[in-house]
Amino acid sequence: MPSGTREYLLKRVVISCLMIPAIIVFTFLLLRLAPGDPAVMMAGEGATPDFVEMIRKVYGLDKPLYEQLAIYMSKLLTGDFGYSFTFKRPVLEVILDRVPTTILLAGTGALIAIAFGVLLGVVAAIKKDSFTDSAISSLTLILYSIPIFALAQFLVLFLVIQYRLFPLSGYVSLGVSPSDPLKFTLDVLWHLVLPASSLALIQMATYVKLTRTSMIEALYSNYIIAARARGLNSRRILLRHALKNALLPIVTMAGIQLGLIIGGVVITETIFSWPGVGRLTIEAIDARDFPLLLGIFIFTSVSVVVANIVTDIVYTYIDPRVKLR
Amino acid sequence: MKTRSFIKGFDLKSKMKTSRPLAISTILLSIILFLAITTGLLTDREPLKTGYAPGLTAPTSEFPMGTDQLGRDVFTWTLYGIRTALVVSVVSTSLTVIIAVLVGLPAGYFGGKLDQVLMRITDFFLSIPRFILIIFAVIIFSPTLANIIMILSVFSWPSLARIVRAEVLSVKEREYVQAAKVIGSNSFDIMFSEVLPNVVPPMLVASALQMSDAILAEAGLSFLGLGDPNTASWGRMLSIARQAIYAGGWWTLLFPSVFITATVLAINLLADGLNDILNPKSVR
Repeated sequence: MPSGTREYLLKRVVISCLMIPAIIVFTFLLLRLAPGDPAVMMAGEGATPDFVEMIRKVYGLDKPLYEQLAIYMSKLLTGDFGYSFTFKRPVLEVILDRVPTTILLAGTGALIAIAFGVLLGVVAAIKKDSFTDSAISSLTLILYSIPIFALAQFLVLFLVIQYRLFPLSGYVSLGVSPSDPLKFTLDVLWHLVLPASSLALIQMATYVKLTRTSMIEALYSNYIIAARARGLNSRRILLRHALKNALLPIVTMAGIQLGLIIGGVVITETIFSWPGVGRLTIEAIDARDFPLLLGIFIFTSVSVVVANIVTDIVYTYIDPRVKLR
Repeated sequence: MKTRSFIKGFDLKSKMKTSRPLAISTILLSIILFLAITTGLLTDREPLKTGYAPGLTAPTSEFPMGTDQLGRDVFTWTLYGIRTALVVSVVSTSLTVIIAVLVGLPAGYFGGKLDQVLMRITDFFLSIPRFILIIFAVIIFSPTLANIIMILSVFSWPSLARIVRAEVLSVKEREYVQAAKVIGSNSFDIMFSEVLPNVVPPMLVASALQMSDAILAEAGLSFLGLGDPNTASWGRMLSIARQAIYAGGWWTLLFPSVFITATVLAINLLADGLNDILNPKSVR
């Protein structure tokens, strides 16, 4: 690592880590702004009066505000996210159970989006101003404008209802168990196709646009012209020189998208009954399970902060130009 | 006929010829606005009233877009949906812009400690997943249309505030601002009458994108059942469509989808077009 990079990264990581207590304070204040008794809210609607009183004691809700904040903060920082009365389990456990399925869905969606987005972006850049280019641009602009809850339903209408190619919902068929790994994997993948494609399609436009722009910039830059002049073959120029540089912004974009697609994940998981954190959010809302909802909010916020740190680190490694800013 | 240009030095008419996105967007937006204004003449039904038909009815001459399971008229609801979308996008984006200016302008102009504090707050809001935050806030406060609009604005200003600040940083070093300082104008005057007008053009593109974003966010909330139940939102129509398409009611999905996509597309094209005009050198 070049000198200075380590300090830069360290600074970024420290700033990002400070975000976590900030998120907790913010959540706390937001809860206090809400109308009604915070104890009732923290216990969840439908909780018994005894339970509400217990929550009031445990969280010190009869004490001054700063003491309440201290109690709340210390609980969260030690991993105590409270108790979900709908699942009759600690909130953190309930959330962690759902994380792998969400990562599977969101990760697959992002990979498909990046793969096809970069491919289409490169094609559009090479054939700049041709019919292919404007067809790709129009297609991505329309995809960018369709809400995911419309797009996903069209996929359901044609591929599930009309042609019965894919299963309706869930992430594995009834009666298929992990004890038969091959069958289980194939079944999960089969269930994954539609939700992951929906997520991919709405994100793809961003990658197409980004790749096209940076490829065009790269293709007309001096080092590419120099490479051409040296007589290197054009496929080699395209892949080794232009694409390699054009891909850098993709990494940054992937990090930014992560925070943005969480809304898409909530909606996709709802439409396809995919048992992940997004679906859990809606279950928590329907049951008015506030401790769970709060837990999900803090958990996703912290995950995004952590993911941004990772993006920063990855970026510093792959782009040697990044130094102390 | 002379076209009045909205930005000094630009001939809007000639720009329209060169920017295809802007031309398409103008046509689409005109149709949408026309339908929004004439909604009351095009239908005399109420958007959310049930029982116009016994149940799910395919499009006929009486119901041009069919009805849903409860006999609500899809045509009427879809048309009233335009008004909801326009109100949400225009009002929430205006509020967003106001907050963004109030944060970004002093941050960029005064710099120093104030800038650091304001930008830390901005970064904080930028790093929280916005949709979950909005859901969370809508649950805490009741989901009336006014609340939803407020919540959308309160959580959408950060990226715009960053744009404002970045522009202010470059504008404040220019001669006319320096000149205003020299003749002793106060900071408030300089900020609002010298700096702000020059920050407007770059903000236009971001504001347009903010408008389409607000429409999608409101519809997303309504789709999840978190919208205002008394408002004719496309999002709620599409959540009704979830059951209807299994009974063959494709029209409950198709029409609201076409309208929301067309509206969002028109605004995104507007942003593209504005970008073409304002940054003629950008890669096209």
